Amino acid sequence: MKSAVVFLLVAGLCSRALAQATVSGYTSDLDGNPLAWVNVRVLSEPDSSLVAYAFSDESGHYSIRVGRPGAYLLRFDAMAFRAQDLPLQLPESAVPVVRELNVALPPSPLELKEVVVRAEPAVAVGSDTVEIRVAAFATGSERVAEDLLKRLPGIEVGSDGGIRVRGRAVSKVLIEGDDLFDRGYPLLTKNLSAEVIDRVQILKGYTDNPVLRGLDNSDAVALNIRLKEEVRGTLFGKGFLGGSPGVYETDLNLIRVRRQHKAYFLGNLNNSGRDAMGDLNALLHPKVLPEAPQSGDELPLPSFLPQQTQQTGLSEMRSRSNDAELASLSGLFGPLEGLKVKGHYFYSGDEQGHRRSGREFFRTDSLSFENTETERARRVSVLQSGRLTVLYTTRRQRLEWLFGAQTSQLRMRRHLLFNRQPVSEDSRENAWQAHSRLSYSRRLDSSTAFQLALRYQFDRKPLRMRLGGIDWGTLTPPGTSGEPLWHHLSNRRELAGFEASVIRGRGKLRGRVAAGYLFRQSALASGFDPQGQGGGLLAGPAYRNRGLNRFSRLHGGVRFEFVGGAWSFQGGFTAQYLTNRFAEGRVEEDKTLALVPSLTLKWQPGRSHFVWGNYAYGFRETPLQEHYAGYLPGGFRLLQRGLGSFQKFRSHRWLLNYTFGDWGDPFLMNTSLLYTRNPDYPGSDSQVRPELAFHSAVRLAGQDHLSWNSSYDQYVRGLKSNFKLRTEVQVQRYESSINGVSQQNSLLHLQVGPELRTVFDGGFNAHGGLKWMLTRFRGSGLSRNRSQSGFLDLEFRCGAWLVELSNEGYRYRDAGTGRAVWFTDLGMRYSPNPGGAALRVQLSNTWNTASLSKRSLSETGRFENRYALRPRQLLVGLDFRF
Amino acid sequence: MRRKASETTWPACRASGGFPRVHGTGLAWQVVLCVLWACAVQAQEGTLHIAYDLYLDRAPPLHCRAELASSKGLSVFYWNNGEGGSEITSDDFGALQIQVRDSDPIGTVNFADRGADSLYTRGSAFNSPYLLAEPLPEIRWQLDAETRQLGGFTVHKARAAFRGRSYTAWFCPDIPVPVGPWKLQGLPGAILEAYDEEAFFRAVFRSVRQSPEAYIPDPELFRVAEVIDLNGFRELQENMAGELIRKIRSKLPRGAQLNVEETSAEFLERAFGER
Repeated sequence: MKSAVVFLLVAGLCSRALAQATVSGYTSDLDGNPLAWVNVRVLSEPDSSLVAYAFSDESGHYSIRVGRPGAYLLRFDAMAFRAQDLPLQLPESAVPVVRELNVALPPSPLELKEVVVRAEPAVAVGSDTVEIRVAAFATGSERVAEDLLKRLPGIEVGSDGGIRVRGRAVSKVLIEGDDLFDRGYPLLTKNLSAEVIDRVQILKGYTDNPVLRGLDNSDAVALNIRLKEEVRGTLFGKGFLGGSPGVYETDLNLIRVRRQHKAYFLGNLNNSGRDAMGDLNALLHPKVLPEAPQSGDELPLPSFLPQQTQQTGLSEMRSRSNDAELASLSGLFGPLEGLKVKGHYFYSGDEQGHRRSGREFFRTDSLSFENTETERARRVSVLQSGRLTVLYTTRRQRLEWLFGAQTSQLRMRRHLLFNRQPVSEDSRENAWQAHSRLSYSRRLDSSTAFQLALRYQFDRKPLRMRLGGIDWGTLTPPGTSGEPLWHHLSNRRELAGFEASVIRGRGKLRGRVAAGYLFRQSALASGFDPQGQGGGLLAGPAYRNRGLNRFSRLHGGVRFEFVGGAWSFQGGFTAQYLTNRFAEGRVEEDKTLALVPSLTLKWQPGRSHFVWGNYAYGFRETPLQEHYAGYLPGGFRLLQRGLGSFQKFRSHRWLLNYTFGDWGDPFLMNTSLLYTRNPDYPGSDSQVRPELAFHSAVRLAGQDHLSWNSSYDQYVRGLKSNFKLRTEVQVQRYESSINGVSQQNSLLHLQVGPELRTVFDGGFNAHGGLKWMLTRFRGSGLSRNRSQSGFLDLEFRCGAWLVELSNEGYRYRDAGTGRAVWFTDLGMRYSPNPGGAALRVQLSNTWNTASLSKRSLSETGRFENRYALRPRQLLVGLDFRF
Repeated sequence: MRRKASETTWPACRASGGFPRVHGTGLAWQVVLCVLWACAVQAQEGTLHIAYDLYLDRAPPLHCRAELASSKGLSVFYWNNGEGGSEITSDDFGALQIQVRDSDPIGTVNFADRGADSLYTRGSAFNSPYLLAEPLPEIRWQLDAETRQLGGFTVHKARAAFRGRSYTAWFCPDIPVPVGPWKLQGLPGAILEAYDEEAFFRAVFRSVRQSPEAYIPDPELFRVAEVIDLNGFRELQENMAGELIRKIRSKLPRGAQLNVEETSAEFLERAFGER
């Protein structure tokens, strides 16, 4: 049957108006089999507009209602069947009209041709940029940039101001395409008014160098804030003003942004113990190397300024007095298209103090003694830094020149009672440093780029030390013991180098081939002042240094990354040809060819398992600062010297990490195993006397270090709490020589600690934990140290009030009385308007705990120290924004 | 509200006397659904495949490829598949950043059976798959006279309120199957584009094709530990964000804080009064 057979039965009566018409019937194929899910549409005759629709059920029955009289077309269509149209005339009627229309649909071949369209995305998504117009998302209640960013799709802002895009932390926030704040971007996003923002761009695969975009392994994300035209030039900022009798703390941030120039000022004054550098630390000392470290980036000149070796293990705010002042000004100027000039200057001054008293218990087979020390230390620092960067960028090329200079004056004064005899140590380091870098990048094609970088660095860290009251024994002329003694040290280095690299990235494989050359010249000179005491043995050659080192490195290497499915490999090697020439009385030369490989393997077979392993081979040659043969003072009773000859050291490191579960799973486990093997290493050969110690660095063989760390989390839903367990095991083995006797040292450190953290929805939560530690040191004898610590943090929230009570306690069982020491800090914050002014009250060291006793172990015995702590301190202040 | 699948029973299947209504829910979903599908495609014209780009403006935003397979009253919509889990990064201020994704490699699957008047949704919460069984929603579409061209098809506009959001759908009568992305369906033509007025959900037509072969979903899709009804799903959803935040927060080290944003508005379904 080729045409449709239609049966029309009229079962209603016509009248002037149509009360209700119901059309029903059956759909079938030409064989009479019921057709289910046939579209039945009522189309109005004049314009074919859709009036009503229904579908046939599994038996082929359909029913459809029409509310108005008129001429219609009843259309039946279904996939794989030819559509059928039936005319439907519904007259005006006062009573319901019922009609029955049955239809049989002829088959039709599959005629739906494949169609592919390009749909417009909801948000403008480019290959490496997503642009969001903020007006579409703003509600008008946003005060600052981060309020607005929270509303944008895919962007989250944490309580610390850190910004994430799809979970990845953004590396930078640019303003009008310029990086003014580097990694200290919360200073911008917490202060920039939301009203001035027009658009926000998410820059995927962000790199500092736009010419290299898409080629390196960067998965970094950055945000670019575009301002409204009419608001450029706004001055904005925030501040804090607080204090109490004897304590003050102030903060001020000012920002001004215009199209051609941008400026930012930060100032801080405090004696509350707070680190004045604060956010600026991240700006000045990022924890990560630049994306493409260049020759010289990894080589800081070491300082010989004596460091504080005994640490409390507490936050420095607990034990440090300070008087900090800081000012910083950053600016950017763009006079021409593609040309930008950036400048930065900052000044930081601080005066910090520590107090300590302690005893050293020295125990070897040949010598045992006990020393007492009472110390007052004061560290005064003044640091100034300036940096100028000129950038010229075109579509395919970039030229960057950077010049920076820094001066610092550090003075460390220590006054001691050493075995009840007054001893003083006064060290001054007036350092200055300058560096310059010129780099050129050129994009060769879509997957390849070339880069050339030249670098020069100049560094000086001279040190002058005055030592008084020390019994030098036979080293000084008779009758001069205890008189002041001066020591001078000159420490400088210049380095220059270049590196050329080709960077290529395509598909799953990315790589970099680089070659370069580095030349470094170092000079180290030191000696005791020949006047006064210095006329004795201390004026002799064993206590002087006049060393010069010229080092050059010619290197070439390959690094690659391959990502495929659950596996990823990162690897590479560097071939180095090193020449080293030392001149210190005699001349020593060496030439070495070294191949340094590294390999990282990651495997993630499923969401619950993640394994990664890494092997790294290390090779280094001793710089001059480890080479010096003459003794120099390392503190008030220590004379130290370097290896005295040129040495090369190798190392092997294996790391294996396994993670089971996820942060969103009830159970999460993370465990890692690290093993380091140093076939040879710089150890120590010490001659120790109660009043003086001589340390010589010597080459020793066989050092092993094994550590195993694990953490286990189990979340209990019913209790809304998480139980955590952390374990740590460390085993270390190395050799040393003391008073002519060689000894094997071994260290075993065990640590275990449970924690409980509640996550109630209400206004109260708690987080508490305990930690037990056992350290066993086997050197000249067997020493053991056991300690416990615990904490309990309580948090109360009520409306605009937030109250936090932080408690922590420590008990060192083998030190002194073994009594526990407790600290409690109380913090209150009242914020009537979120994002507006807030009142802050902070009470630190509530119980006015005066000191902390702590024990530490060494290969020759142990130290027991008592540290003076900052007394109870109240700080009341106001956060404000303008 | 919740039952273990192994504890429930399903007394009948469609081929032997009628597909059970979801009000009773049942066991062994993977076996029954597979058999039903095989029966359907053998008697029908093959399978219609429509691909979409799907956006959910949640945090993190979802942008994925979704596919609808349909044949004679049955349709399966796959989306939200991908690696679940978390990503941990730390910024230069030492802050630990954790991002948790609620998807899994199977993803979310909406299985609609018009004959049984049933809709089954396979999803994942905290790495635990669930199966939501509910009656096929009766969406009261308001037809609009507006038409436009989309991918060479003439599509018609319709609007409806559904589960707390107001949707606009563009359907194509030339593809005469009442299917659509996610749970949106019931128009006289396949829905090729749909979005809600808050721009939270958007499905955009990308391609359409037909295949003559039978399309049999993987039984693994419906192997779940927990079968829930709409009330159970509402409870699960209401607790999901809070539970997730609690889990993460409880694992943080001392001093670390987790900023809790309002999350209830980020659910696609936020009202359950209607069917």
